Amino acid sequence: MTEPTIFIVDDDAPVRDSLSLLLGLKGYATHSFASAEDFLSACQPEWHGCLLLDIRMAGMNGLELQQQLLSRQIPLPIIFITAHGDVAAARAALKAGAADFLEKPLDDRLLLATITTALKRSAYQRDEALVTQEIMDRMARLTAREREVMEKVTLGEPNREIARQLGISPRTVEVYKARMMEKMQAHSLPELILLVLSLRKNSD
Amino acid sequence: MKSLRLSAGYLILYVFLDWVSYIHPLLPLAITPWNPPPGLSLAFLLLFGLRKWPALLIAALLAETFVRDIPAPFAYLAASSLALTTCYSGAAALLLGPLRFDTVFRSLRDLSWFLAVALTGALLAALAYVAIYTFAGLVPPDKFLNSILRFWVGDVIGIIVIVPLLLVHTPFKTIHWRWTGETTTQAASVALALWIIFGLEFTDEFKFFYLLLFLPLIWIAMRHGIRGSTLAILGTQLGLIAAVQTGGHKAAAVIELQLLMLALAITGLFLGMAVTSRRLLESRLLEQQAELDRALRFAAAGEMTSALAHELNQPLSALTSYLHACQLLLTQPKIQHTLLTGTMGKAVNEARRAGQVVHRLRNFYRGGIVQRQQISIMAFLKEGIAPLLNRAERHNISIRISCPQKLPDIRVDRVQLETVLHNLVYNSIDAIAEARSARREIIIDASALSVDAVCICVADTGPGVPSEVQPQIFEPFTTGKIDGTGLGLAISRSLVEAHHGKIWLDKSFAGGTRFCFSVPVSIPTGNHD
Repeated sequence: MTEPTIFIVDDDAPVRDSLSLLLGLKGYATHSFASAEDFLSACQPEWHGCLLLDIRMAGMNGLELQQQLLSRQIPLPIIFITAHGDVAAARAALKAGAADFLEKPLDDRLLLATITTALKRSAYQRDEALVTQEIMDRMARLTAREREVMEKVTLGEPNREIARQLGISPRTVEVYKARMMEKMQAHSLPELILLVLSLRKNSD
Repeated sequence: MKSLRLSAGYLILYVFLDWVSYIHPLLPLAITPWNPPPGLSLAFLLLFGLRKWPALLIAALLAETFVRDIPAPFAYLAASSLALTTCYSGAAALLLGPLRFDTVFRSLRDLSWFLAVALTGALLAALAYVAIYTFAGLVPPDKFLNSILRFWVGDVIGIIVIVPLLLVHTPFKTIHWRWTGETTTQAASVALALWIIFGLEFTDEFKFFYLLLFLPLIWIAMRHGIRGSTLAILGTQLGLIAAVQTGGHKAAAVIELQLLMLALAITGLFLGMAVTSRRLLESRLLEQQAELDRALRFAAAGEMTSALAHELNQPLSALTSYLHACQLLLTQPKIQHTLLTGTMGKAVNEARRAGQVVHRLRNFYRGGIVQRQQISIMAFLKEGIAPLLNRAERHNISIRISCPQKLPDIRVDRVQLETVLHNLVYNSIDAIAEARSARREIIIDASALSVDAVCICVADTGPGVPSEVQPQIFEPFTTGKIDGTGLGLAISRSLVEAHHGKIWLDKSFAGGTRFCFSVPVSIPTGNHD
């Protein structure tokens, strides 16, 4: 499933049906689930898009599903929809990182605007994740020595000093460095530093 | 200025009381068996504050000089006046300060401390007073103890008769006192007891007959609490004094009469206070119960509203989405008729689902009814407002019920219609309390409306309902109160309508608000349900 999908989880069949019809007509791919359990058992790591989630459901409720997704590190943005204007639930949902909290009956314009925002956020997160993955893939191809050289180069150590520390000749350092730059696809020292930094930032 | 007038009034009353109670004096100190002025002084300080103590000194000096005419130099008069002032101001300070005496005078605790302080204060006053004049050479040594005893008992009687009387009947408290046939009989019984004891020759020798005086006192205390008992004590005392004055009762019996007065007063006060504090407790409990009922009813209404919102929002949400989808389908270049028809069908189903929710709710309310019982209108009105009387009194509002005798009994679900009455009266109390109206009165009247219905109206002297609110006054969530839910009148309306009655705002009523509702009367032959 590569295109972004709107996942609808609500125990009220007409609500599910009408939402998926409306969003389908608006050009979104949708996928409905009658319960939180159904969604969890079907959920795939590569799914992306956003989740329209009812709070009050028989069985696992919306807030519990949110916690499950957080602990499984599934980064789908969640838009809560509820027939109860329950402040406490809204607060809990938003504190746990919900994208938004909407009340039924849904205002369609508001719903669509919220979905657009959530999908943008999802796409951005997905891009970030892809970039990180790419850099990590490149780094995985380095030998242990090349990795050592990269760490010292990014710390700003001169070749001579690196050679002394590793007990090899400055010329050999030059060779390792050139191979490392090639594998990392970095054309200059600043570019290399940026790659390493972005990795560190995203892994925090 | 007001304070000065107050003190002047006190001075005049003090000297006057001293003068009228100048009976059977133990000369030359003029110690009288019934001495109300110290009671007046103590009540004066308790009610108007300790800072008024100089008035006590002046009053005592005036009385010593002009009423009692004591043959001693001024220095002794001044010393004795100062001693009296110190003792009674001290007593007042002790009560108001560390003993936290409440001048509302409604608890047995306050009564007990008051009696203890009165006994001690009067004893100290007696010791100081008699000692000063013994020093002046006016009291023969063999009369010393006797004088102290007479002074002490005389002052104690004066205090325990006058102070409770004034505290309980101060003019700034509202007095709901109605003179009824029973009150007349009670007053007559006091007089009868006095006549039996003092009027009939053959009872003179039997002290046993004194006990007769306790009977009317107990009766009055049981019926009217501390308010009644303080008045009864005063009446009995006055009667005793009058009897002694006119009947020429043996002078040797004065100390006996004093002790009788003391016993009567203390008994009456404790009994009256016990009755009053218990009634207070009962009405407080009743009021709390009423508050709780009300809170629960509204909590139930709140829960209901929340559940209703959920039940209605589901179909409404689906309905909105379906209709929006229909709009989108119609804007497409090639209209998919099957999908459009199907979607519209689904929208219709959702609208129907919302309708069913409303229908179920109405059935629920109908199902809550009706346990009708026959009851007289007067009883219904009295019991309906009983839990609110305390609240009304607290806001200084009087509630009057006017109900003609000839009205037939009504046949209603009592809990439900009491809720209606309760709501209306509660609103009236709030309206008057918030508006600070000068006239503070709620009038509940019942009248015949037709052959099979009576009309009950609740009118108040509040600000009235603003004309722009009047049309939707019975709609839910319409409220003029800050903490109101706006459900009271809406619920009242559905309860009245469940009885096939009507509730309306009397727009012709000027000078406040008047709500009326009709109630079916009991028809002996037909089955109404």
